[in-house]
This record gives sequence, C-alpha cells and structure tokens, in this order.
Amino acid sequence: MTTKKRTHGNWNPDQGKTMFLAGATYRKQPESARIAALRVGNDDPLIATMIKSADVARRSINKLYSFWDFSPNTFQEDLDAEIATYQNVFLDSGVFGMAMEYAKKYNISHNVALTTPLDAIPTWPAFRDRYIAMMRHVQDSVWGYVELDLGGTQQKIQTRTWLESIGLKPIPVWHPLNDGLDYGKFLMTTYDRICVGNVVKSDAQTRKVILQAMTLAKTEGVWVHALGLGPMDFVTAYNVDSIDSTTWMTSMMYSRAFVYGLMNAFTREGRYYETDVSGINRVTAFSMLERQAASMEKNWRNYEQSKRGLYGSDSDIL
Amino acid sequence: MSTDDLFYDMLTAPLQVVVQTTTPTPTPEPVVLAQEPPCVVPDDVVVSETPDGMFVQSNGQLGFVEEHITDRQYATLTAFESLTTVSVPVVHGQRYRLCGRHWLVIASVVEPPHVWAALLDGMVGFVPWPDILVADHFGPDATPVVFVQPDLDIAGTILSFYQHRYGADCIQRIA
Repeated sequence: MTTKKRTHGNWNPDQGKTMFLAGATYRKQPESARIAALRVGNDDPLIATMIKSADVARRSINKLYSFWDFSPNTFQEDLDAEIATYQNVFLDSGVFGMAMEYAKKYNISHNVALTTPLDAIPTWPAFRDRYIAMMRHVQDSVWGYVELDLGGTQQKIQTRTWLESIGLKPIPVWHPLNDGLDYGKFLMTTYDRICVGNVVKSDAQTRKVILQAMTLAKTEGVWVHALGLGPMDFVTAYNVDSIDSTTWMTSMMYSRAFVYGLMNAFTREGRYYETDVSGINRVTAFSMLERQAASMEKNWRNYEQSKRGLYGSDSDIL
Repeated sequence: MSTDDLFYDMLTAPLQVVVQTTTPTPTPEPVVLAQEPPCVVPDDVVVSETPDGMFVQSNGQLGFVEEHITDRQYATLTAFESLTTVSVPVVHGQRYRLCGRHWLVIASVVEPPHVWAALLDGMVGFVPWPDILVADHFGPDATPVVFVQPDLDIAGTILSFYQHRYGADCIQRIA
C-alpha cells in the first residue's frame, strides 16, 4: 500500500464519525451578547450555571468556519478564540462564496463560476493571499483546512502543488459533477483526506448519486468529508466520515418565532431570560441548539458502533 | 407583559428581512464563457443571501437557487447513474428475503406501523438504515439480519448489489 500525502491539522483518523456545525455564532452577535450574558448571568446562579455548562459542552463540539466568517484585521485572534473554545475547528476556503458572488455579478451559473480560470476573477489575488495567511496561522491547531478549490481540475492541481511547495498541506476538494470520477479516484488514492463538494445545491436524488459514486470509489485509509451535507437519514447508507451543515442554526438566523418558542419552554417567572435586552436568550438558545446538534454526532457514532458488532471490525463501511 | 403575550407578539410579528444595499461598482469586461447558458436568478424571489448559497425568499422561506446543470455535468451525472444503476424498483411496504436468510423491509424505521417488528425473533441482528454495501458482509453464511430501509433508492441499490453478487435467485419477495 502506498503512503498517502498527509494533510495538515490535529485530526485523529480513529475519531469516528464527526459532525461539524457550520456558521459563526458569537462574533456575529451585536454588542458582544455573550459578554453581556456573562455579566448578567453572574448575578443569577441558574443562568451562571447554564453558561458555564454551555462553555464546558463546547469542548465536545466541532465547528466549521469559512474565510468569510473572519474580518481581515482580526482573523488571527478570532481564529485563536474559536480554537480555544471548541473541540475541533475546520477551516473552509470560502471559494464557494466568492464563486457565488462572481456568478451573480456576471449572471452565470455558480457551477460554471467554480471552474472559471482564476485570472479571470478580479478578487482572486486578494482572496488567495488572505486565505494563505489564515492557513499559515492555524495549520497545526485546526482540525484541517480546505484547499483553494477554484478552477478546473488542472488549475486545482496547479494551485495545490504551489500551496504544497510553500509548506501548506490543505485538504483537496472533489466536485464530482465538475471534476468527473477519475479525479475523485486520483484524490482518494493520493491524499489521506478529501472533501466532496457539489452537495449543497444538489437535490436529494443527485446527492445520493454523488455519495454512492464516492462510496464505490473510496479507497482504504482515506477520510471523506461531505461539504454541506446535514445529518440526514441517508447519510448512514454511504461511506462518509464527516459532515457539516448550517441547518442547526437556521432557526436562529431566520425564525424568531422558533427561538422564542424554544426559550418559552424553559422560561420561569422572575428570570432574566424572559426578555432579551441583554441578548441572553440568543446565547442560551444557541447553546441549546449546539447541544442538540452535538447529540446527533453522538447518536451517529453510537449507531456505527452498534453496527460494528454485526459487521466485524474489518468492515470497510465503518 | 406576560411571557405568553411576548411569545404571541413574536409569533405574529412580521419577519424582518434586512436587504443590504451596496454602492454599485464599475463592471469590468465580462468573461465570455461560450457553450454555457446563463443561470437566471429570479430577482423577485431572492431578497437576501448567505455566503453558503442559502437564500431567504420573499415568502420568508429558506431555499437555494436552482442550478443549471451544464452538458458536462449532465454527462458526469449520467455516468455516475450508470455506475449506480438500480435495477430493482421497489415500493414502501415490501419485504424481501435475501439469500434465504436475511430480511430487507422497505418501511419507516420510526413511524408506525412497525411492520418489521414481527421479524425480530431474538435470534437475528437488527440494522435500521443499512448502507448500500451490506451485500458484501451479509451473505448466505452470515448471522441473520433484518434490514429496515425507508429510502426507495437505497433499498433498490441494496437489492441490486445482492442480485449482482449472489444471483437473481437470492432475492425473494414475500407478500
């Protein structure tokens, strides 16, 4: 068996199925609601306990952040703070977002934008340089970081080769619909980890076709992360090792009714969180949603562990 | 104001959608991508966007802009589908005997009626939401197992793989 290229990061190949919660939370809240909540909560034993408990719980939660979640001036300290808070932090290049911006600007398909030559995109040089600075800063402290997966397959190979020549070891991304099956096989036989794209914007049928092709092509000893795949029923049918999704927090982003309904169920007379002046409702609701999402990972691992007894430990699906 | 009143207000308040306005920037020469027809984003529907490509529509629902699939992508998808062809069409409620030993029940794992429950007699393994490669592990000599798969595509794929590996005779539909 040939030795595969090792990608950067503090990951453990034996950590089991892993779910990343995508999306920035605290830093996007106005007026640092978390700090306000801590200040208010210190006067109330129940709230103080809840917040302390939530902070402890975050040490078992995995987060995925993208380039776009960090400002140019403070990304180093912000990244350090997230890495100190959560169990694993996974950094995505955010090329998806840049391609989306480009596609809208020129009225072309997003998938076409993903394969556009880099030189044709005016914002590419600045984007590349800032992301390289990010990768250098966190290369050993994050779980992993994603390559700059823009352009066609040749372009991506060139960019990755150049990144590797300057000492970076990003996780390559396979966009099956754009790159074809052979490129996916090449990545899976060459690297210890790959990401699979084209999932987020595909319908359920296409997602299953992509994941089935990946499962059949997967080689021994490669870790596959499905970008943007949520904890759906059909995840267990395919040989995917980790997933990420923003759906865990969409209720916080878009539905106040849901959040306040959630909080209402836990409200007691005379407590601070009956109103949201300090932002504590949002903080607590985020914490509850994080825990709910994290419990899915635990269930997923328990499920796979149960199957292991029937399959035998040498199973290649586990 | 009581909590119930507050909650009612929250429920009935209109959804606030922030539309960010930006200063128009000069547009450079567009890149010509021949053979690729444009993807038309319905401006009357999309009102705001996240970096992940998720949109809040004017009706307040989350959604994604449907992508136009290019010819190359269609060819790739077709190739994938031929690679993953399902030759055994199935419907909900069906039960299959595999290799005369295992059961595949096509039904919900969670929602009643649990039509598969009667098959668990204490001497078999139970695998809800089985993966597509179970045929590699549960052949004629393996511990008897009951698989319950609610997804028709995945169930059909499992049957196809059994058929491919052990022959058509290994699949028996039980009424």
